[in-house]
Amino acid sequence: VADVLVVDDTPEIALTVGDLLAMEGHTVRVAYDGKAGLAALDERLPELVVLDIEMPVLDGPGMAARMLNDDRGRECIPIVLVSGFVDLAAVARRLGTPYSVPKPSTPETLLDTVNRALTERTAPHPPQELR
Amino acid sequence: VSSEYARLLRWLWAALSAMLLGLAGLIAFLHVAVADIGQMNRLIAEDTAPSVVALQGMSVGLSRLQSALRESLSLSADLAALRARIAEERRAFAENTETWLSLPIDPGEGELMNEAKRDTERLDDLSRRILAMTPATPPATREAFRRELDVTASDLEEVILRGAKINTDIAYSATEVVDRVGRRLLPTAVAIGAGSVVLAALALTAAYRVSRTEAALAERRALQQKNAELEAFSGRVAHDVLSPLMTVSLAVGLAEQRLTTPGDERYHGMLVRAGTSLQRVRQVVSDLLEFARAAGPPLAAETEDTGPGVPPEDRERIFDPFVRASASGPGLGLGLATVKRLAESHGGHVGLRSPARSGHGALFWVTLPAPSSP
Repeated sequence: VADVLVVDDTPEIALTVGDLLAMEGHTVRVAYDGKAGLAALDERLPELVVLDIEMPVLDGPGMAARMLNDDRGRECIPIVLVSGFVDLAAVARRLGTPYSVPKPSTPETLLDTVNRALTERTAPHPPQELR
Repeated sequence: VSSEYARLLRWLWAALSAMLLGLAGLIAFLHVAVADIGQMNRLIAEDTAPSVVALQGMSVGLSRLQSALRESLSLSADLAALRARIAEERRAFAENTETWLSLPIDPGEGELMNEAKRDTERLDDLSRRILAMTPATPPATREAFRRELDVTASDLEEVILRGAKINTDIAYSATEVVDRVGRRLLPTAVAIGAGSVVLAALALTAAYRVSRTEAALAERRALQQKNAELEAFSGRVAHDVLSPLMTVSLAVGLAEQRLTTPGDERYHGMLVRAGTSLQRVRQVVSDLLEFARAAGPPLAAETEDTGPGVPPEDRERIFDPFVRASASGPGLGLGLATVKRLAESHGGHVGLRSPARSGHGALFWVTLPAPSSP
């Protein structure tokens, strides 16, 4: 049982992913863009962020970069990228997170990755030259 | 290509520079040669030739003067008549001498002129003495006058000949200079001219290849840009197609897991097939992306299904936006229109065959032109 923040600009996806995780017993909050996601972090730090890439106002990588910008604890939260973005692997590499799930995926794939992230708790660590 | 391009440009500049240098050298050379020839021409026309003419006149005048004076020495001479003739000859001689003296003085000519003046004075002095003779003048004196006349005239004649020789020598060496310059002029001009022609040909070749390379580079840039646009656009389309399927995938997957009531095998099978269909959509989109990224030879792709096929009345309109085959399931009718728009914006074509080879369903094909063709 963990505290999870889901950030996705498509409400159907955000809510479906949120419901799936809630059914697993997690505490879930949902935000619809990066800025709202950061606001939710200010409110309370979750144990995991499930993050879309392309979003209005502030996109996923933008939100992640701001999380890594200081040492208020946000930089230690593992991030699972969930996106239909073609170069999802490249974005995950740039962000330095080992967790990414392409859209569409089965519930098993998504839950496996989320559970792995909650077990390992590997925070994003961008490669030195891209920082 | 860019290093080849730079090499060609260096060639072009080198050839053009060498050509310009060669032409400048040719002009300088011609300038000097023409000046040399002109100077030699002026030397001959304004100095040596008139000098020789004047000296020849002096020589003729001297012989006439000499023969008139000889006649004066005989006892029967009519001195009064001869006096006028001698004065006339003396005047003509003086005129020619004056002409010679007024012309430019060449090396060695100045000394000669002084000698000529002295000899002429001697001759004038002798003339006066001869014309002052009386019938009483003894033969011995007349004989002495004759000898003096011969010696003086001979001295003067020698001076005249030496002057003529100096001037003809100068004229001769001037013609030699002109000849030498002329002989050098033609081969040099031909060599520089031929060199310039070769260099111009090289420059032209380099310029032609530069323009060809430039055109090839521009074509490649245009193609790269087009490919990048295609890739960006297809990435966009793939994202927008795949993302909404996430909810479907999760819902289908979850429903499949939770369907535990016995006797629900048919529902279970439906959900499994729905999951399989979603995987197929993912595969199709990823194939299309692969296809959009491919570059090189002309591209052609086709895909066929085993569905109901496309009725003949729909075949004309099936690629239009918001048009769907009457028997098909849900959808907006944008898929084929998007494919057609993509293909045609890159100079390609789309089409269909229904029924497909298998005898049912439909076969759709897409072609794209080779990247090298415009």
